[in-house]
Amino acid sequence: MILHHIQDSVEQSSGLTTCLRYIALGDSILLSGNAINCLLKREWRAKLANLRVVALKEDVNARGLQDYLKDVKQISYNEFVELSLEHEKVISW
Amino acid sequence: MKKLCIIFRQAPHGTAHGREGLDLSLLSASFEQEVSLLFSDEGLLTLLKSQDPESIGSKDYIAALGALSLYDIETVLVCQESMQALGLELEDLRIDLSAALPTEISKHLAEVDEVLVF
Amino acid sequence: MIEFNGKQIETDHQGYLKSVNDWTPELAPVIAKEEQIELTEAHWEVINFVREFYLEFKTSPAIRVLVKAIGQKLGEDKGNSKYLYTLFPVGPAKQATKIAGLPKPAKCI
Repeated sequence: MILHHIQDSVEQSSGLTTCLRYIALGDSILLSGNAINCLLKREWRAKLANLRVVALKEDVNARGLQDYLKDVKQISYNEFVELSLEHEKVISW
Repeated sequence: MKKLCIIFRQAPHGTAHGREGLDLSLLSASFEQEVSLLFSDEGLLTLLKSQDPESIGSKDYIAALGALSLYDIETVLVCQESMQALGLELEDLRIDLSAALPTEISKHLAEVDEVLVF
Repeated sequence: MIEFNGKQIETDHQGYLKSVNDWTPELAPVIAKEEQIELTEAHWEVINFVREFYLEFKTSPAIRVLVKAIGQKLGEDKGNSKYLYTLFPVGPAKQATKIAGLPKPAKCI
């Protein structure tokens, strides 16, 4: 079980694309920073549809995206720490 | 001894990522960690033959790839999907290795203790 | 800074040459003297080896790698740290690379 952490916008980094290529059953994805923005795009929603995806709440609110991402599970920094501990390792792409 | 996988996913030269990744690989290996390398996406370009980074003022850190076996780094994977995307073949690469399918790479990432991405 | 044959050769604060191209075999005994080492054939074998290693791989070998690579090239009786420490008491990787005019290896004993 791996927690994949993506921080950069998909426009600037291929991190999420690479992560999706190697993701395994039972893994989770945490989006923070500008990586969250991809959730506004239908194309990326489709790619992430069957995966466990969470977004960092503070980064969502900071960007004024809370109303657009109501259906996405959002977690606090404390929950982020808990989530890291629940997984065997974290990969920061 | 920890199993450490270092992923090169960014193109060499232009940024310091690749060099830092390789430095860390050699350093970890000389601290007797079990190091494996994975080259994916444009990171694969690190492995191309006949590079001349010094001509653009970059350090030739690629040369150290030839010393991997002396550092006991035996597992070197390249992503087959990335190879195809870039139109490259194994004979285009400067070291002997085998291409791995994404599923094989997932399995490897699950097996190691730590994964660091450059 | 080392003064040699009327030329100033730049070094870092630990005495490693700033540029590998400033090195000549004649300079080796000068650096070795600073390290209190009298160069013999056996020293030269290691110095030439680390210099070639650096020129091929563009990195100075760490001690473990030095031991292994020397064992492969010069024979098992020389590929052990005891032998190398007899030649370079302060640290083979550290002193041999310095005398060979190379940068200090990253993991340095």
